[in-house]
Amino acid sequence: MNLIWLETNGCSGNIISFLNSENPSFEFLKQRINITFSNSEMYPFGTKAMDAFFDTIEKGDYILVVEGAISTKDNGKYNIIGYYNDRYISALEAVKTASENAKYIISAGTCSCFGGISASYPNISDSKALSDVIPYKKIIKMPGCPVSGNWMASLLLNLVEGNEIQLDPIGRPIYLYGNTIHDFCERRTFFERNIFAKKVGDVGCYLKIGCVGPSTKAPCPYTRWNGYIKWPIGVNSPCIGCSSKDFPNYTLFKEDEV
Amino acid sequence: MEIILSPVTRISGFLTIIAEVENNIVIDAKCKGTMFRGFEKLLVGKHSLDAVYLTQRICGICSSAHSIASSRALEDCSSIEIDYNSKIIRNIIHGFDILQNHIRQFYLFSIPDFVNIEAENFKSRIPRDLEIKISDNYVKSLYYSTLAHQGLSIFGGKAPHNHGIVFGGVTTKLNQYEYSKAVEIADELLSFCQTMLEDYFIIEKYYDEYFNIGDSGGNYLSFGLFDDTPKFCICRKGVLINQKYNELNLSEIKEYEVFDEISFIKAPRYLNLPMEVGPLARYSIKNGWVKSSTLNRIKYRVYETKSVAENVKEMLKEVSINKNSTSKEVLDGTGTGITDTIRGALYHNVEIQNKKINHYNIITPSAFNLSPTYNGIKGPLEKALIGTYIEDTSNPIEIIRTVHSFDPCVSCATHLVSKDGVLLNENHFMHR
Ligand code: SF4
Repeated sequence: MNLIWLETNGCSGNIISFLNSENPSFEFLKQRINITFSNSEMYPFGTKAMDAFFDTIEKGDYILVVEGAISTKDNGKYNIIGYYNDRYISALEAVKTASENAKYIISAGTCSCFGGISASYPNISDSKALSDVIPYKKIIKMPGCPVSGNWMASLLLNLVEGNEIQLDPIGRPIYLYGNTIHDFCERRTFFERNIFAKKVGDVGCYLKIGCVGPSTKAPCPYTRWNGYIKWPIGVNSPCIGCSSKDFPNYTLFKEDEV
Repeated sequence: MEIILSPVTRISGFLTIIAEVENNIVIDAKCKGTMFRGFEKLLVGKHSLDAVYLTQRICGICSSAHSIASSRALEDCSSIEIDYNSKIIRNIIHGFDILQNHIRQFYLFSIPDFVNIEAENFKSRIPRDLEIKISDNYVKSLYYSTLAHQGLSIFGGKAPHNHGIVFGGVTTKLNQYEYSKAVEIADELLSFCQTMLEDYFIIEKYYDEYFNIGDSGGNYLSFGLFDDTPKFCICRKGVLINQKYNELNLSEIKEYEVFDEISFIKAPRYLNLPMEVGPLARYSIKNGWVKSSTLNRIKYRVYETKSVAENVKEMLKEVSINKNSTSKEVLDGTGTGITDTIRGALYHNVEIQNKKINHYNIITPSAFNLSPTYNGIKGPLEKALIGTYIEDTSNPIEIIRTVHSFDPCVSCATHLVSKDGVLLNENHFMHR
């Protein structure tokens, strides 16, 4: 199956994270999925890259992955993705066009899912979540800042194998986002015993210094991150809720309230 | 004729190059970064300590560098000196990120400009058997760059956008289980650097005219890489102007706004000169001036990969087991944090009021390298493209080779400009 990985207004960290995936790895998935357009990874450049983009759309039946938020200010002028037929194509126009014929649409990362940091106040570029720009389309939401490459790779493998993916009411795969960080956190016993850390790096539960694990849904505690060794709470720092809807519009490092 | 290359692929972010070509020679070039978020504005009002995590989101391929520059800015503001162990751990995190980037940049981004990896994209000069060898290593490089982020993650919790680096030091307490994993990862990466060098020399052999293509002007600048742990210093702070070494004087950096319909890259200048930054600049400042060229940029990136891998391996021996140090006593005031990183010199400046960010300014390496023409003087990449001979104007791969040699990152390059410490009002952007 063909895949378009469209980067929009963001840090392009979700494609880097995806390149980091293991079992299934990026190389493994490439045997099943043909990435026809990716600003970070494709060989063709300029017009030929844009040809590949529009050809894939014309053929239909592809997976569209969008990372970053969509800048809507001045008709999308704050984020141009390429030049085609004598004019500049904005990310706004590109996602609208590319979502037309897509078999699956995936929002990769919190910016694409909910606006994230790219759309945070004062949002000079008027950036929006993908779902706000193409409101009537079904979108699989894969939040995270960035989304772990392993979660993306697992989703893509399940999709090409035709497995049904159950989604929660806001579009996240339940098998990945069904539980909160707090549900399986390795510091849960500290929480139960009322042992709270006073600053990052210390022993204890991080609830009082800003941990939003109880309200954040993501599988970090058991999938962990790169190489399955560590994850944020595993290196003695709080969960900052990077996969949540309102990230980062709250204080991450809270003062100890005890 | 005008050639519009948009998008320039195999980079991070959105870059457009507009080249004016006459008789197959580039006579003028313009560099445009076509995305904008306005990080300096969105940081205002945030809790001071949040800057370390938030600024990482500027860039998905060099996030750890922003965490270092921003924690340094906050520490400068509060006059805090971090302990040696924190410095070492930060440099290990940064080191693994550099390895991740350089391996990825060389194989995934640059190599396909010279070697036919998958399809018959262009007429290659490299014999087929060597191309097959390099193509095999291209696939292996995916594993090694992933492995480098695993190494980072042992200390940083996750990559991109690590959690380990915070104000006052690092959160990470390394235990011996994790230590043993990191040791092998560093060792594996170092052995892959040898492969990378061999592959580089093949390219050098068949494309040696690129030693004479891509001259940025050859003025170099560095903010120092690992210079806070002198044993492992890759490069000290410094400037090379007209091949002569000068001490770095931060007050000589000025940045200018350049009006453009779609581009948001600002123009930083040192003594009003455009400066090239990155591995070649670092090598030159450390070892004496080397000519600015497309191949030299690639060459010294590959050389540097090996030096960084060697240093990371040695730095691991100096980590104290089970020790960390952090702080939350951030004071009001102003502070500056600088470091050299993957693509060159990175500058963060912060003003804190009532524990909140009142003002933030960022100058990135790619802003130096990709900076637009200001006052009639071309930015380094623009200048480097002028004079390039293009064989087939419908496929100007020669331009792309030089662009990639700078390892551009536009997510980093597009920022607001500060004028006398005052951020330009966003109204300014409204009438674009
Ligand atoms: S550290 Fe956070 S997620 Fe873990 S137990 Fe405490 S509150 Fe819950």
